[in-house]
Amino acid sequence: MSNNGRPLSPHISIYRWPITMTTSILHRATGVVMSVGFIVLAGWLFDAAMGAETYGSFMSCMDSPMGKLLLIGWSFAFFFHLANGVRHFVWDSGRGFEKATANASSWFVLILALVLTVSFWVVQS
Amino acid sequence: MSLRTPLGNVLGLGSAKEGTGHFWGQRLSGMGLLILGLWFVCSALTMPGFAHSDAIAFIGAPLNAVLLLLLVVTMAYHSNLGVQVVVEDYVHGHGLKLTALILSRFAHTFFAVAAVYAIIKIGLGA
Repeated sequence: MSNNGRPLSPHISIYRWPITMTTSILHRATGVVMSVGFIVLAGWLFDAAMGAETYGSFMSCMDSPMGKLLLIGWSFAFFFHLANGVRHFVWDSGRGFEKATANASSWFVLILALVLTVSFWVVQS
Repeated sequence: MSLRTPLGNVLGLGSAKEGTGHFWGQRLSGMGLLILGLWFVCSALTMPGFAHSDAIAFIGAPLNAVLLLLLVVTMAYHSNLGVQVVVEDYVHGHGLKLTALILSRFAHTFFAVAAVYAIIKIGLGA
């Protein structure tokens, strides 16, 4: 295809995936994940109100390996969505849109979320 | 007869004349959740344990109950706004989209009310 050396418009299959796209879709994904987590939070409160027996069966679900895995996932979702949410607030002020800055802040919130998740479970145990 | 241009008539109204209500609701509830969420995470770390008596003592403490009420209501509101956008973006077909939006609103309301009821019940020791 001759294009006289002019830049081609990027298309899905030839687009190099930038880190900002990861954090963008991850913000949405972690939001949806926490919407499901909200049901569990409501369940925790409701079962606590129902009495010791109901609460016990809820907690044994959460204590199972699957429950623990979900809780770790929710904690990462929380820390990522929180950190990236602050990044959105910075953008709302009109700052941080430069390519280098946006890439750097993407890595920053990703690493921060991982560090906070690990720290949370280290302190928790 | 108005001399205003068609563009002039709609500027600042946003889509469906709701303006920036969704945007502001999302940002303000996000700011609230930043504070309430961090408080909740810190509380989870400092709770003596997760036995039923620990949970009742934590939820029933007046300040905790107030902050928990704020947390679940703000979270339900923020989550509803977020899920709404996701549905609007990914669910196609008017009927299916509307059904999903209504179900999402009902579900958010249901779980928020269930959580609020539970917190008040524990807080009042009923």
